[in-house]
Amino acid sequence: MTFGSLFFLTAFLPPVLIVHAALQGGGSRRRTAAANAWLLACSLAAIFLSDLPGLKWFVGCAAWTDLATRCVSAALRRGRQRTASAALALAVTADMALLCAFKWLSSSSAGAGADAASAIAIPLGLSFWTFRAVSLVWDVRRGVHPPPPTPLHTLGFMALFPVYVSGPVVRWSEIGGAFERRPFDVDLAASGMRRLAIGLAKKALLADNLAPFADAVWALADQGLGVPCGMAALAVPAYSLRLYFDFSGYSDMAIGMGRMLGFRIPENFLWPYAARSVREFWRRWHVSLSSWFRDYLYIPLGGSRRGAARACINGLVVFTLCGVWHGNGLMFALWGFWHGLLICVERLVAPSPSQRAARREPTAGAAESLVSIALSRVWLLAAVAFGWLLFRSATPATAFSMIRSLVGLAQPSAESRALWLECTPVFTAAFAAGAVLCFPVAPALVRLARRVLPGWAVLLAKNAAATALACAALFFMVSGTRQSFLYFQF
Amino acid sequence: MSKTGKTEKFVSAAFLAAWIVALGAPNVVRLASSHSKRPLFLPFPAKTENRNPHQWPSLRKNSPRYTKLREIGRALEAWYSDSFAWRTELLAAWRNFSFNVLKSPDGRDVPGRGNWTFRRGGDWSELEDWLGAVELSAEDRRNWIDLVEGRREWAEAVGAKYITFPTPTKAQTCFNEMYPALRAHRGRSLRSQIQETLRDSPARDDVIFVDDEFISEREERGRPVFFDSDHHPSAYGVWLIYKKLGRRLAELFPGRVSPDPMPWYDAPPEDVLAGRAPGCWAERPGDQTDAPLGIRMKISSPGERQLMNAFPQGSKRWPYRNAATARDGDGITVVMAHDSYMRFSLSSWREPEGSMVFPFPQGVGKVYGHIFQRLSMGFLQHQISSLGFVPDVFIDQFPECRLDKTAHRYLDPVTRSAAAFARAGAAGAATRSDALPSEGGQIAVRVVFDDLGATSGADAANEFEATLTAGGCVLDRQTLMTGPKQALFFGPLDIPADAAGKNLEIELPQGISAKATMVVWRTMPPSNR
Repeated sequence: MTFGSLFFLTAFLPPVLIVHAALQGGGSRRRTAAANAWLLACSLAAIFLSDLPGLKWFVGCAAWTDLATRCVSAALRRGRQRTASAALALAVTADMALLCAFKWLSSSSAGAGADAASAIAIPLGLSFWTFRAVSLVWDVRRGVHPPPPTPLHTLGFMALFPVYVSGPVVRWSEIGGAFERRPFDVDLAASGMRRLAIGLAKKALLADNLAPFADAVWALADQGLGVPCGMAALAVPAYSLRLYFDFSGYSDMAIGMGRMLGFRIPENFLWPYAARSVREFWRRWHVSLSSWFRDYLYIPLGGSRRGAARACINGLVVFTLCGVWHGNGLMFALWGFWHGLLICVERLVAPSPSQRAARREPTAGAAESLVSIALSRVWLLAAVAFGWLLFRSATPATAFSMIRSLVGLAQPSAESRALWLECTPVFTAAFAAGAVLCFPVAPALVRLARRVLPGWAVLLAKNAAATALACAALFFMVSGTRQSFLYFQF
Repeated sequence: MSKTGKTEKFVSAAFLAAWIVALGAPNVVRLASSHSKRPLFLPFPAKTENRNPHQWPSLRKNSPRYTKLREIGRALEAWYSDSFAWRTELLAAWRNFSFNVLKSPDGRDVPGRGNWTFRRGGDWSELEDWLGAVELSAEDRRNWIDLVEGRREWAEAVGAKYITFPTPTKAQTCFNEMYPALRAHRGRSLRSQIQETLRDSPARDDVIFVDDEFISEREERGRPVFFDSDHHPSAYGVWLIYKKLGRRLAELFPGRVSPDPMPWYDAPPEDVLAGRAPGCWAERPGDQTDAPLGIRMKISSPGERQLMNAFPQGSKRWPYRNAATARDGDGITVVMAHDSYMRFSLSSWREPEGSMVFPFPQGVGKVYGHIFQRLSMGFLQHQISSLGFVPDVFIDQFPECRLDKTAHRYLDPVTRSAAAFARAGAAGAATRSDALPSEGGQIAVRVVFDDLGATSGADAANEFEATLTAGGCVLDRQTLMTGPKQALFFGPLDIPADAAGKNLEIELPQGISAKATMVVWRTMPPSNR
């Protein structure tokens, strides 16, 4: 059951929201407890319908996570730091062992020539809920917050259906308060509905219509067949846009549903393609994941506190592991390593203002030339797009084939002529719209509207736009052209 | 709260409520209505999706709808999607929208100008063929030569002729109806690759191409050679194919088959659509009553639909799988194997009593038409065996956009051997029936049987095995059937040392005998070894 399915949107979501809103009421403790219970039941039902075999692993993980938080908290109260650290280490090891075991077993069973039925399936959302579990125990150990009040709170937090399958990797410190008191807020819920519509539109109108062309090009590259340079050059940005709209669309839906349920889930994508450096890109792309790696891996490894060389090594380790988190193929690791390498190069060539300040170097002037801004944006887009080329390619041979096509060294194959069939008006429109909308154009338009229109008119316009987008998205969805969210595989 | 704040809150609440209601509406309507009373909410009709809709899952093991507990979510979702209220209407609207507004494919259908559609992908890659996206390998080309030359040699051995005709595709002949973006990227078609391959083959005249006639009729006379909304040729297009086929038959059987084609029978479209006359026409959107997914073909055949079955066998999916027709008077006998490509349009020649009349010219007597069949070696043998005589001509038909798969699929060892035998002759090798050369080498062998029959207790319908020997060495084995004439081809075979200088012999199982058996061999030229 995915967010984009008819069943989820029209059969599952409306009763969940209506009953939840009725239970929420003014948000007293008792009402919030009832809403929590309803939400937990719905979340578990969603997991039951989506991935019954994975349910036991999830419940097991939630159980030991809750136990670990209480052990850590008790040890801290008694001043037993080592015991608290040991409990944390045990919980983290168990979570990571579960994650690694399933990823390894899944890839080895699939790679042994076994049929799809006998391949071991990874529990749905495993990568996300194990990370949420780690952050929960770790933050209790760091004293960021106390453990959730009851085991049911822990289970409710980990099972929360909007973020269960594909994140964001939300933390207890960010939404834990809403489990205590969560009044129904009509403005928040309406903004959530708008966000859900935007997410649906991103997925169904943009990502799904960009996919066939990019997939067709990579399918030829998989076979080692050459593609005309222009087609390859179009496929890489098409895939870059598809990935962004697919995953940010999912995040928008998760954030939107969270708001409708009274949770303020933090933003996960902050216009990443508008960044001007790879470091900035990672502060904008999949923010919850990159901040998780920063807080629970990069900083514990020493971060940038032990010199530039150590920071580079730490960055390479962290990003390579981030790549492996996405999948256990070599290409994912290479993609992560590529980003680690880019950040090392940027660190050495163009230190950030804080690094310059630390070195007592003069920081760049406020007025940067347009040329430097343009160059930095081109650099960022080219570097990230090359990373996506590695990310999308299943093997080094495929990536090499794509690179050869890109630089015009590959002889275009006869089969590549069929790519013209994928250059449809819909693809062209989606590509053009995506190329504009991946930059913060929409917020600028809203700001402009606020200057000239009254608040209620802006709200009305936003609602109308969201409705139109959602109708169009639902229309596309019913057509059956809808594809699975990319991030479900991670 | 200020007035503005209240207004904004009201807007938000109205928006939220409207959306919740909108999302939940299909289910409310579903629950409030029963399937029998409201056909609108029936699962999407299977005929338009070519599949059965998903059923409500059951956890009872003895139920035909049994679903494992772990798969219940997926099954429930599949059922829900298939029985979603207004799904049929939404899909129909989607199809019209994607064609008329987005100008983009809906599944495998690519829109052209007006109502024209073209097919892509799957088993009907006509647009890929137009773009030149399918290239025959050297092996593909070799297979094509073997298929045509081998079939021709086999037919000659039994005393018949062989013709094959690749039928053109809509994209290759009605390209002006495509959008310029696709039309501008014409590539090398499979047809031109096959024509190049066969240019120097003695069998080149046995392969008939009709594209030029189609293009000229379409471009110069504006005749409807294809349906605009379907990938089948129109009745007129099929008539053009038979016209050219008839001319070839007249060349092969001079004086017996007339070179003049059967007259064009042109029932007015409105009569066909009204069911008053036989034929096949495309309905326009305005004519639709029961076809919500857009333009569909209307096939009309007043009278009985069932055709007489000459050889009832195999699938019963199509009632007109096998059709046999006979003309008054003497004429040549034709066995034709073809796919469904022309089946709708053949309705145009259906006679009132229900049998199908192929539009062959005068001089063609009996026609045995096998829809969904191919001339495999077993099929050819079976025809002679079951008819009890050798037909004058065997005709095979392939759609052009499948030419890359055709030869691979129907090239059997006997045909390959027959092609090798033909090439050995073309290279100047003598046809010999005496002892094998004592110096060894490689040979191709042809064996022709007359009046091959079961003598005592053997089941004539069963296939049996014939063994080729020389000096006590078994060189090869082949299967064949009883009949007035059968031909087998072996090789190329290496002559074992023990067989060198010995005579070739053919051994049949006990209970099977032949009135006459002729075994001949040719030495393979060095280039073929």
